[in-house]
Amino acid sequence: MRLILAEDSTLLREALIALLERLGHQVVAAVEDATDLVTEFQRFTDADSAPDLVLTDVRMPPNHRDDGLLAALEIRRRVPTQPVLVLSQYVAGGYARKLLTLPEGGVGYLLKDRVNRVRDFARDIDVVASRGTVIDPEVVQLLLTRGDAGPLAQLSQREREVLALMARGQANSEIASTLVLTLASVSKHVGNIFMKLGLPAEEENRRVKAVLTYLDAVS
Amino acid sequence: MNTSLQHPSALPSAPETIWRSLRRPGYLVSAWPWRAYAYLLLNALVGPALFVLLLLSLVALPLWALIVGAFERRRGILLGFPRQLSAHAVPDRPGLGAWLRLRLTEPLTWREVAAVLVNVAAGFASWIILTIQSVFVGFVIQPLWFGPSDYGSLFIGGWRFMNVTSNTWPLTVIVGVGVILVSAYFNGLVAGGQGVLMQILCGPREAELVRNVEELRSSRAEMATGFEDERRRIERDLHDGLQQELVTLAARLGMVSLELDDLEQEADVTKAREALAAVEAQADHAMQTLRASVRGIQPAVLTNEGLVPALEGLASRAVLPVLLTVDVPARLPAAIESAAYYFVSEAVTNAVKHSSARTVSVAVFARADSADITVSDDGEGGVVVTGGGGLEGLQERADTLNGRVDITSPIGGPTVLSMSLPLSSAL
Repeated sequence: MRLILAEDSTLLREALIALLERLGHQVVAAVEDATDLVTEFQRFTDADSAPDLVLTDVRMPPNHRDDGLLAALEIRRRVPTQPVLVLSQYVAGGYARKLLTLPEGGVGYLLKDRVNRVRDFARDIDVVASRGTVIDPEVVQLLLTRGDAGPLAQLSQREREVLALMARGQANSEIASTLVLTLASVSKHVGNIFMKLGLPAEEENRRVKAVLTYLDAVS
Repeated sequence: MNTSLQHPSALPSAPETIWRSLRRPGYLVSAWPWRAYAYLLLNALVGPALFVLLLLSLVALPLWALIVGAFERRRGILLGFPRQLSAHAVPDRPGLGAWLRLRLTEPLTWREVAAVLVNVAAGFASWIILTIQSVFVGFVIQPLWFGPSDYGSLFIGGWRFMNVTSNTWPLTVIVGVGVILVSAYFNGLVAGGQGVLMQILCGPREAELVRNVEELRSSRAEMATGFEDERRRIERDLHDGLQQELVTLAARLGMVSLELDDLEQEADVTKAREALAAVEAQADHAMQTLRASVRGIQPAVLTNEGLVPALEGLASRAVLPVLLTVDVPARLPAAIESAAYYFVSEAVTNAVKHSSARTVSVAVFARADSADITVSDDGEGGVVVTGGGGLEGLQERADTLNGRVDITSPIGGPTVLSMSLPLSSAL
């Protein structure tokens, strides 16, 4: 897959390029500035060669605050279906909420630490590029603590855990192995979640919608 | 609260001063006439000394005035007056120039100049008074001088006052004693009067004290803000430096792990995998430790996103369920945000540690002029503020922002900690 990478630390940028290429991806542009990210993205899009994924840091020049996130949102404003994965230095619900409440999916918010688990990281990239939603477990934890109101209040503890893993983009089989459950009981929990959140069977992309429902509930 | 009644005599009485003692019958046999005498003797030393100094260096008059001012604020002790505080302001910039400019523009400095002039005049007056009084001391003790048969004349200055003979000497003793007794009162009045005048000239005016307290407060608030800036700088250094390196390390380790996948086809890499897993776990731990300590210094989310997201993060990490009710504008002054965050952090920690609470409620409201933070838990109460404890630190922190901390924790609970910070005090 073709990626644009934005990361201001030279060390980390080089390491990420090496890692992504080792994973078989192609980094078509690597920038160190949020403004450049938007410019580069526009350049590739105009040339009809939009990247499969934009991977960006949050805190970057020019303002060293949430510039990367704002750039990601700007990219999504220009091309609403562009997959974007944001890497953050720390857990912050506000950042995640802004990004993850975008309706089309194809978004991810991970702690930078996650590159440590290289296989998970590789999977997360694929999930986002194929329009899935990936949320860091710690962010999920953070969002769930505010989830004491709204539709989430109806969910059981186990259902919340399943939902949290769904938010990470895990398939039922993966959830089953993570929580040491049978596939059948995971399917039952997922069905209950859909039901309690009012997502009928004909609804497309129910998994993403379920995740978005609780994000809506807490934002 | 006092449970025993105190005896009235144990209550502190109003301090004895020269003015009070002058009205008492025992004045003449107390130490006060001697104190007044000492006061005038000091006058007689200081006045002429100042006079000479001024002749030599009139330009330095304000400088001598500052010294005299400091001296006068203490000399009142001799007359039973309280030691006065200096109302001179603290220069806001270092350097002799700034200090001099400030002093020369202060009304107090010029009142102290007036005190110098009063001292010079009082010095010469005291010489005359004490000289005359000495003569009357002479009247009393002259029989010891002259002896019963050896009479002479008494002079005041060059003027022959009287001839002392065997008939008149008792009269001179009586006159002498009388004048000395009157002088004791006279000295008391003069010293007391001068003492009051000096207190008025060199002592603090209320407006000056209020101004100084205000200045102290704002410099303390400035210092607190300086600390906040420093915390933010350290946080940035750690995130932009050390954390990037650790993440880079993790990414490189991830690549090693991918290489091992390839090698696995041809060789046994179990040992290498175990070793790598240990290194990865260590790197993971290092990143977690770093994030935890950065949070302790100054959570980045507090700096970048403000109080509400920071408190949400805090609530999600807490061991107990934390119910958060927040109504504040997006951003408050940095010092307020910091103080509020650490207040909640410490209060929640306290609830977890000491009170066997099951849930903690946090409420943060900002009005037009103040931010009010309340943290309550459903624990068993009985929390006490101990020296050096976290709760005491909260009070100190609130103090620097002119805020208030209230802690109620009856046995049986609930414990309620609240802090109110005026928004105007933050810079």
